[in-house]
Amino acid sequence: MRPTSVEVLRGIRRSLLETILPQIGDPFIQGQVQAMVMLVDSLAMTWDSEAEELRQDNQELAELLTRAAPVLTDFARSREHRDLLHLASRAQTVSAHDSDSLRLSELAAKHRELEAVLADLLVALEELAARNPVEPLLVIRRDLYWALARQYSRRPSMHRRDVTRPASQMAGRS
Amino acid sequence: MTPEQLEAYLRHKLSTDKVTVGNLRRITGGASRETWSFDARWWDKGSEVVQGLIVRRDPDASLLETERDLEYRVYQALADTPVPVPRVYWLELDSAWLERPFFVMERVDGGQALPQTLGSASYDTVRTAIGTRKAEILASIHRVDWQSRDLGFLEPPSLQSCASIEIARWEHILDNQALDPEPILRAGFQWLKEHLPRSPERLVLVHGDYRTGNYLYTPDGRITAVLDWELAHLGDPMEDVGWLCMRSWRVGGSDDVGGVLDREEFFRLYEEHGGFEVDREAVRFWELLGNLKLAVILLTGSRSFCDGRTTNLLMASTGRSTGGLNVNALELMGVLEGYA
Repeated sequence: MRPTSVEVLRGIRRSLLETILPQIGDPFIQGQVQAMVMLVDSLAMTWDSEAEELRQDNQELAELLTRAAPVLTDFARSREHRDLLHLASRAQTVSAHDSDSLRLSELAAKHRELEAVLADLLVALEELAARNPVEPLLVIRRDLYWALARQYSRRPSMHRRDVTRPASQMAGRS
Repeated sequence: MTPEQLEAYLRHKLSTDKVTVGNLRRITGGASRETWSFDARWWDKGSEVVQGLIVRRDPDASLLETERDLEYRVYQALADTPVPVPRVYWLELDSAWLERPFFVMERVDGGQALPQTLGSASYDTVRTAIGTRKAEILASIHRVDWQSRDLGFLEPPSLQSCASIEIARWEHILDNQALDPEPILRAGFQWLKEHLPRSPERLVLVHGDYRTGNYLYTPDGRITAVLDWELAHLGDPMEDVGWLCMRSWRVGGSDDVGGVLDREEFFRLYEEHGGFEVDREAVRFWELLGNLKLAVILLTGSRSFCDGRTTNLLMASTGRSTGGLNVNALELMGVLEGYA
């Protein structure tokens, strides 16, 4: 079907920039239209790949948690660290359940589940890294951070490059 | 907001029948509080007075909930100090006038705040002068005698608790506002708790958002006003230094602090103009907290948008753009060494 969703989004973006924006005199409303352009731009860039990337991200986090769970369990048992033992069990459970769905809402829900366990686990690992650093846990911590860094680097962001580039240039990005 | 509403308010405050309001327009930015500019004309003792004014009104929803009178009182306290601020006139808590509480202050003309203009070639020759003045003003802010200036209402923390209080404050907002688990932000807050900086030697007035975009600069290299004091509080001077070092405020691809000066040069000038000794480890701590704080502020706006409390698309746009802040945070935590 043509235009495709991405072509429609790019068309909306052009229309906003070339037809609507030049007609607006009020700077505040201009700012709103520029924000609209940035949002449409961001949607157009991620539309085609978002489901696949989320699926891959979920898979990567699930694999890391699966690998981490037995290490965490051994460490937690040896130190009688109940909270960590519970986290190891949560890591095992959340990474065991996978779905074949390609619906974005379901993939995003799974991502949130994985990240919720990850959030609690990283907080615990930070505490341990500062007070009682143990090599196998430091390796888990590093691998999780590197995976997150890769995933978050892919997201739209104004804060890794120059945030203050003129809005017109940002909107003009292809 | 209409000119008629403002005219009615000014008639009431100025006790005169003849007031006209023109050129009313909303200013882009000021995401936590609406900012409106207008020209007012009235007659006082037989002569016409023309005054550019600004209204800062509570928003329908914002990037951040801030106390409406805090900013007003800080502006008031800083009048006639070396810190250039606009004069404030009235704080109005009665929503009957403009639908929501607001305050009115002087409009400082002749300068501008846009960061992208500061990065343009036409400012190449004055950027150093602006950076120098920026360092000097920061030192002046930190040297304000907050006790004699009636700023005790900002609830002074102990010297030892400055950092913990700010961590707790922003983590609490994250708890209340985040729609996603935010593992990096959570881990970042824990890292901060495990790496508290040395206590400052003195408690100072902290601007809380001192960056390019929140001061007015001129083409001849002056800074005419420091704005947006809604995050002001008492704390560690290194907090402001760390905040303005953040990557988010650099201009035109430059690595300079706020796009104006090399980091070490900025530190030197800040110290030379009466600022406190710059503790690099503390700056790193506060720069990391700054990245987490900015992410939390943007997520708060995103929440307002998702909850349907605002149609301001800026909130949606900025809320979707926190990925880089997360990666910056990981870098500052030192956990990306060897990462490729």
